[in-house]
Amino acid sequence: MALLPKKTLLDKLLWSWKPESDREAGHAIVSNFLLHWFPNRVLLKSIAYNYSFYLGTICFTLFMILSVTGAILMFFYTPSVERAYWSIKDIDFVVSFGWFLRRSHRVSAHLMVIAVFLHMFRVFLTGAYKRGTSAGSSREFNWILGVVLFVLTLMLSFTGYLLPWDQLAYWAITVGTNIAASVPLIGNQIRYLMVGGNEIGQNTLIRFYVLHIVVLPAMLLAVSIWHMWRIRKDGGLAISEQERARVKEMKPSQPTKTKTYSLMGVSSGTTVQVFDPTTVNEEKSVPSSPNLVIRILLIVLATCAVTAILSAIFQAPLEEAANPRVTPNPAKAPWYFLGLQELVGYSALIGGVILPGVVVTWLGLIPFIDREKKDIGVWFFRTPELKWAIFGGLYGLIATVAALLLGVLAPMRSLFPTIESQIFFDLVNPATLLFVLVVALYFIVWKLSSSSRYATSATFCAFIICFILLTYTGMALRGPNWDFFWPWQAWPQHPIPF
Amino acid sequence: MSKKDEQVNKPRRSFLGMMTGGVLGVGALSTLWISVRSLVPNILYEPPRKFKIGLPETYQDGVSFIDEQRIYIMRDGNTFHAISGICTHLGCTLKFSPFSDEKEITVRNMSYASKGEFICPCHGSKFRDEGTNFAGPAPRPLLWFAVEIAPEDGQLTVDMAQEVDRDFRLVV
Amino acid sequence: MKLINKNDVRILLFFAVAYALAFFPIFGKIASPEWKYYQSEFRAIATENFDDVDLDTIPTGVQQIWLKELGEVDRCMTCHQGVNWKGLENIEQPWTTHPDPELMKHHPVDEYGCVSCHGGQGLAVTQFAAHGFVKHWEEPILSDIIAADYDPRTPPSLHEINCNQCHRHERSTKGMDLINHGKALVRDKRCNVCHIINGEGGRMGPNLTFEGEKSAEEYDFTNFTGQQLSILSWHISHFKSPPTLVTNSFMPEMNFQTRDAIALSMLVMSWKDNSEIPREYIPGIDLREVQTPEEIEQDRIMREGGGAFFVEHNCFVCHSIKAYQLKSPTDKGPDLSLAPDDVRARFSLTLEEFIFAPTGTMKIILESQILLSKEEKWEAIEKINTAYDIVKNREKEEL
Repeated sequence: MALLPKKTLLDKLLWSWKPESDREAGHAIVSNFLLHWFPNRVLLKSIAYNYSFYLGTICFTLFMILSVTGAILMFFYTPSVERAYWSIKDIDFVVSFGWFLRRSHRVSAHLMVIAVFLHMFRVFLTGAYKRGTSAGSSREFNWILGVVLFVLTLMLSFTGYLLPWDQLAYWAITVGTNIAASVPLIGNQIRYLMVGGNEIGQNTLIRFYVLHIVVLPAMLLAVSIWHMWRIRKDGGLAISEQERARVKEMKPSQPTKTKTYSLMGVSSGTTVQVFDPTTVNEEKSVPSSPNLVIRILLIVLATCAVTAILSAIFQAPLEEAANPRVTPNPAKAPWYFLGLQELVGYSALIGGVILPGVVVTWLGLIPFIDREKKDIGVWFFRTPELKWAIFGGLYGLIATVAALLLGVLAPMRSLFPTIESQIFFDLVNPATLLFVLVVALYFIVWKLSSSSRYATSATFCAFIICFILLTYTGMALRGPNWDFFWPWQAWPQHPIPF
Repeated sequence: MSKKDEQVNKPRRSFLGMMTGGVLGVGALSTLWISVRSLVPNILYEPPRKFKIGLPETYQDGVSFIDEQRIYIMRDGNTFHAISGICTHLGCTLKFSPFSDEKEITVRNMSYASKGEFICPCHGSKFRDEGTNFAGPAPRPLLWFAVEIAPEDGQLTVDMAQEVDRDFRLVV
Repeated sequence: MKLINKNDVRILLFFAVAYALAFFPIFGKIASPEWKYYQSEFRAIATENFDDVDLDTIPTGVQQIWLKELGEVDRCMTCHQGVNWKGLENIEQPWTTHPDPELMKHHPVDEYGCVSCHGGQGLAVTQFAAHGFVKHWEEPILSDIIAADYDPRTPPSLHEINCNQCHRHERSTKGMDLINHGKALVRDKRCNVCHIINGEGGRMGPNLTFEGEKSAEEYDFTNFTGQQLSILSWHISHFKSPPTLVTNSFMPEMNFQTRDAIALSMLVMSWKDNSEIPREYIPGIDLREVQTPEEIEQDRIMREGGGAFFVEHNCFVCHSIKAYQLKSPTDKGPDLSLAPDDVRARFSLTLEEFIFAPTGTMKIILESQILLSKEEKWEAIEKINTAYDIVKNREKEEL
């Protein structure tokens, strides 16, 4: 028997990260706490960079960066209306690396909003919200969890930029709580609960603070973990469904079991035999440890590196201290809410409550609207879906431009100067027009293509284009008094004290 | 157990089950109600809705802004009224923009000489100086508040808890 | 078993290096903040200009003055280290001595800070941020840089606006020429007929008591034709020609020259809400009861007159001494001017015998509460005798 080299202490501690055989790799997954989330083996197609772009990993990494930087910032920030603003100034000026922590927190928050949008786009455009064929698979539920995470991310962002209690924060709270008040029947009660009274003050600040540091992060963490657990239960990333189908053709009679059910032998009647794409055709898969591990580590590092570099370059702004007697002109929300602000400028009820409510609900219902089972996990441009997606995008572009033209050139109250009814203006305005046009798009494409998938895809692409265009409008084309300015037109000068 | 026993025990078991469920439900609902109700404030640290703003003599003809409560006091000779300076759309503070010359405005079948208009910087809403919204997304006209003279020291007193209609005038 | 993809390892290394490199500028920025240069320069300047400088006494690091009552935090002296030093008047900024030592005697930096007079952003530790020339800071340093925009030949001393926060209720204050001129104009032109000035006045025009609190957005610049869109230039323009700037204004043409307009504008902008400033900072407020001249003289006699000994040793608590105009608050004991007669009458002793061997209450007092040395007892005796003589002489004169 050949003598094996003696195992050092380091070897004994780190063996699970560098297994030396397939068997050791499998053993690593069930012995290591951090690694137990991974399956034993993964398909090469699943871990390909150009399939998922690891956007989910990026989202979660950013959330971790936010939690760590946030926890440290909590030592310095005081949630009192008198002190909040000055505590942030001190973080910027006198806390060692305070400026870096604050900038990192802000940069990773913005990146996380972008990342969750991109992740949602990716999952939609690969049809990964569709149910797979393995027992217990329910990807449509995981999609709903994803929509919940999306909303939680935006709410975390909203509650976060209120904490500095500068002009942006104060007026954003004013506008946000007043949008809540425009909900019919119970709007004023909702506002009373959010504000902690009638007027925005200390109660409001501390409510948003507690939401931001405890309630929302706890919910986000819990749902994230559930979301990731569902990936395992659903049999892995959606692209594995293609392999699963191929493998099923080889042995049609057997019920396809997922790795977790079979490996655990949980319910009676199942066998220990694992019949899964990663085990049937071993050439197309690799052990998670070290292959998936190294890719995840790489993405985490890349995310940290990008955050650090951006934090070193871009300043975190802080406006003047909150002043109830003066509204800044213009008063603009952060970029991800500018599209909403544009719509809210037409009607608070439609733009602020109904449209976002319907959009979020519709997003959640996508897996139930589109029931077609083909092309699960395949990028949309590899299928006939591409042309409908392009059609939807162009339609969205034209619809948004039309709505904007109406809003800028023909304000509702000057078109109908004699009408006093507010309900009329709530129902007849560019925001409603846009809404109606996009809803019409779904039915148009459904009629033309007889496919719920293509109709949903066209509508989704229209939604993406609308969002981008409305955000751009809010950013670059709206100036003081929310007047329309072309990008080359100078804004009127802003008066200052001296 | 005999079949007869089973049949007797079934209703009892389900009754006990229901009772337990009921009691647990009461406990759960109580916890939920406590958690939610505690968050609804009973006492507010806010400035009073009724407050004094000084003697009538200290107010000039025209428009004055009370910044803490964000209301505009309008004076015309010996006549006063108070208008809210908060935009009814989403709560931004309005700016009063006077006209260079008085304009004849017809509003609600009534003509009067308008001295200016209120403009909101957030989305461009505009209001006549008597409060009617005529441009932008503002859904409602501006609120008017009751103004009276305090009997003890003669100061003007505004009561924001009391809304009045736009025919209200306090004559001093 | 498949080996790790070599590409993955390369990409991993790339990002690891990028991550590490990102920290170079971060640590670099921390290692050499702006103020380090100014502090090391100051040490060189100090050694150059003074012979016996102990470098250990020159502080390093961020310096802060925290004035809790004023709610002010000033970190200016991180760079401006020479402010309190004598002898660096000819050195350039930021190391120079603060000019006007007479003024500084009345406004020491550790009681007034810097920002309360000069403006700026005291919390900041970099030049532009601290001087307030950054976005979103509305109170820049009121120095020549801004003032030159308003009058390039003789830039007005804009910081007088801040002086007037405390000196508002004085008719005229040394060193506040423009504000004093403005106040004089307000009195001469009787502005309070139409406007409420400092809480009193007429109502034809707006109440100007807190005009300085208004923010820039509250001004109407529609008819403004100047270059600078600022509150100060609005006021200057308005004072020069009110009807031009405000259509249908009741305010007539006052024919103010530029200098007058600047002085008045500065005064108006200084009219802020100073109710939060602690009373000790506001001149003209006496925080003690004002005594009459007679009371002051009586106090002086008690402390410095002939009876000072008996005040010092607390005898006067029970005994008056009219010879020395000493009035006891309780008069428990007899007037000491007549003690020699008194002591003989009551105890059949001389004054000296009584003092050195007292009886009754005095025994207790002199043994426990008022302990006098031998010399002090002789001094007391001598002074009482003198008092006795004074009283007796007076009686003789009266007779």
